[in-house]
Amino acid sequence: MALSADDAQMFVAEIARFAQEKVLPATERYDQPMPASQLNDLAKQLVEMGVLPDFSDEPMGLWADMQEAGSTAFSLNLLQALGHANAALALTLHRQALTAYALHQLGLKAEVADTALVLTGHYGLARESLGKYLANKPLTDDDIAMLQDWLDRTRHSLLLATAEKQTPHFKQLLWPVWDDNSIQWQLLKPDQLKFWAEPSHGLDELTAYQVKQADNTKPTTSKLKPEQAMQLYQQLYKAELLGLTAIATGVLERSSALAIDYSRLRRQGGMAIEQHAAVQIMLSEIRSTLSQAKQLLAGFTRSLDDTALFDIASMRFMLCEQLVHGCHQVIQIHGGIGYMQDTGPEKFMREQNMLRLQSGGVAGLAMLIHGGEQ
Amino acid sequence: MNPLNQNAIDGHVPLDSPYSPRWQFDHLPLIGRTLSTYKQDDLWDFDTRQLPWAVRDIRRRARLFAKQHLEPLAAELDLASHLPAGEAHPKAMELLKEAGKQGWLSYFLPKPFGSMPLLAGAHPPILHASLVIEEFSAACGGLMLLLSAHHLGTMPILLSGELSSIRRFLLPMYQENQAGDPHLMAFAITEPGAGSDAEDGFGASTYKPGVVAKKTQGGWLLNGRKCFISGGDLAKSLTVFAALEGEGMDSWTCFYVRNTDAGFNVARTELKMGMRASGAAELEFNDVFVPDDQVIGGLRNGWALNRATLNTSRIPVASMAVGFARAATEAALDFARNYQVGGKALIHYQEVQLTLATMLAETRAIRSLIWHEARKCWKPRQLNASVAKFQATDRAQKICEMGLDLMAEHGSLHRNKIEKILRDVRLTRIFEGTNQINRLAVIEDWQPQLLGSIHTTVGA
Repeated sequence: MALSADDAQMFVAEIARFAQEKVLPATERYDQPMPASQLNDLAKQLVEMGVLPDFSDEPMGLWADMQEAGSTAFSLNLLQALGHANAALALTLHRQALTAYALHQLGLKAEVADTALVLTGHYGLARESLGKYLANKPLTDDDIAMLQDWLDRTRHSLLLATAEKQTPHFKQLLWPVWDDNSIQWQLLKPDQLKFWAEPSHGLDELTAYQVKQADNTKPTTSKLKPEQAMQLYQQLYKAELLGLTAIATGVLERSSALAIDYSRLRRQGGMAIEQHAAVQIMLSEIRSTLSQAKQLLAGFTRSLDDTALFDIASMRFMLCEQLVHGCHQVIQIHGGIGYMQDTGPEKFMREQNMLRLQSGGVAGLAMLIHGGEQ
Repeated sequence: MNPLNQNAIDGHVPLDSPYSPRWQFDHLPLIGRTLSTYKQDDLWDFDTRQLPWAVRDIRRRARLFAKQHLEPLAAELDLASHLPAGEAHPKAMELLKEAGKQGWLSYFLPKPFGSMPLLAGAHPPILHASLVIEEFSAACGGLMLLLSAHHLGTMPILLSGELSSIRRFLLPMYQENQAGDPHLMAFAITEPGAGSDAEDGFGASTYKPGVVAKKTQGGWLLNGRKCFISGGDLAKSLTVFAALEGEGMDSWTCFYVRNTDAGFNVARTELKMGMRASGAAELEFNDVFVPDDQVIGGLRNGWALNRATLNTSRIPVASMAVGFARAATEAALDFARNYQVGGKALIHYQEVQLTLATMLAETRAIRSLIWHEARKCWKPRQLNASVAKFQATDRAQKICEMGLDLMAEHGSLHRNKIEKILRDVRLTRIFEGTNQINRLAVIEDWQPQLLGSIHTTVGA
């Protein structure tokens, strides 16, 4: 990591300022999500500020150096700050950073902003088989069949949430496949894919696409050595889980601020509702969740290669429900107005749900963890 | 058709196995067989048979109507553009006409006044409403609310017990609906400054009323604003609660208002997260004249009518939660039976079976609570109604979230239904008093017992 801790902190502060000045005004109308073009413009400006990784001798930017604790700390702080401003923008940049990292590691040349990335299979997390693979445990025939099916891009479609500009106009899609008992990678052109948009639950600034490999196409598959392939997947998936948690923490932080403000303004029973125990308890639950999330994330500010995937997965498994609950409590504190799209809390709750469903969701983590710990 | 096309779910013996309980029961001697054999039929049919026979048909007809008329519209109306206040989707209007003709807008009174079957009158109307609302909610939350908020509007008139008001306002409205000319009635209590204060005695005692009635010759002039009024945008008439000028909430009075009255205006409808097929309206009252004979239940009796209405409506709200929980369970089941992972349907995996069984159990638990309360609910008690409301709605949201997690990424897609159900169920924890207010309502109602003795018997 080229940046010192102080420099990294200043960089995050600068991005937070940008988010405050440029992103927040664009997301003020909760019922009118910013158009994809605006999201892409903001992403572009953030890229110009140096958010995405560069892999020079002194790598810097989001997820630029998975071996370096400072890089992880920087990434987590940055994604919390961006998640606080807008979850869709944060997710877009997080995924672009992972795309850049993957392309770099694979030695592939492609424009990051024009490349979409998928990290997981068509449903969940392949039960315990993925966990066993990532823990380098012996795989049974059933495990191999499960992983083959999970990453079978010809039979199953998968979900991709992306700013409209990228799809259907994206120029490449990078995804993992199961090849010769190892996770390998394919970079596909649009004419090698079938994709269609569908209405979805949240992340209103993005569009949900179902994607699958087109018939009669044969994309080129990477030929990484098995251990190299597994390490790359481990790194990307660890960063993905941490990134999603950091963004979700930012979302709850923003949502929490609304609850605090409202609880001071709204009166019931002749006093501000913050003076009622019912509201105080809900505010404390939100605060406790935030505090716990931040502490847990801070605990992972170390080299990702020295951090067990299953510890990160356990954190996400435990925290996700609380983060969602926190956003529900924000709605509950608002009462009826919290249910309305122009107020904010309902949007944050939907974003929280979308984040928990990303990259295999949360329910499958239990068996992933078990697979890894056998 | 069985999409699994197999004679057993993984991890379980086939039905014809000698280890199948059913097989074993069938081979017991006569008395043993009689005591242990049961019909393994459809759970919905099984539950319907547990109901008093006079209301079973209501449940059957409600499901049929929901399947034929609500379910096909659910996705389209949920995704439809937000319409200006006072406008309704043409398909929603068609639904209202058909619902009126079939008696779903007039079932709180028996025939010939309303559409409740005469023999069903032996059971509390709250039981009927709960059965109907579960079925409608299971098909679509928004359309359920479109058809059900109307009954809430009628409740102060019914509960006032004033035959003249029932004759003048309720019966003609029922007749219009049965003739296929939709006439919805809305219940207007919430004000921009008072959500919970309009639903809680302690809050009301400190609240300065926002909608005020001023005496004028021959009647009253209403001024102020109401908000979040379900169905207020399409209602042809409303039961509006207002304080008398210069007095507090204890002077609340219920006024019968028509949407054609001068000075009445639907200012806007809210853009809601869920239940989107039903409007939540902000209403303006600018010197709306209400004649003396349109005061419902007498002056200063509005607070009592309001609380009695909430006691009546909270069990049906709890039954909305059951409908949503059931819909979530059915959506998850459907997904688990059809979606293939590792070459077989998800339902074959034990972790999925555990989730589905828990969802089913939770749904049945809250339904049991509601049916238990509703079957004897001739005089709805606040404590029982509030317990049912917050318990059922809190649990229902959890059930929906379990379904969402079971589907993983696919849960986010609108076509898999669960995300809509989750958006819909979320409102039930807020309206008719937030679940926090409902918990406090339990204590409010429990006071005589709590203050009356050192040892309090909680009972079952």
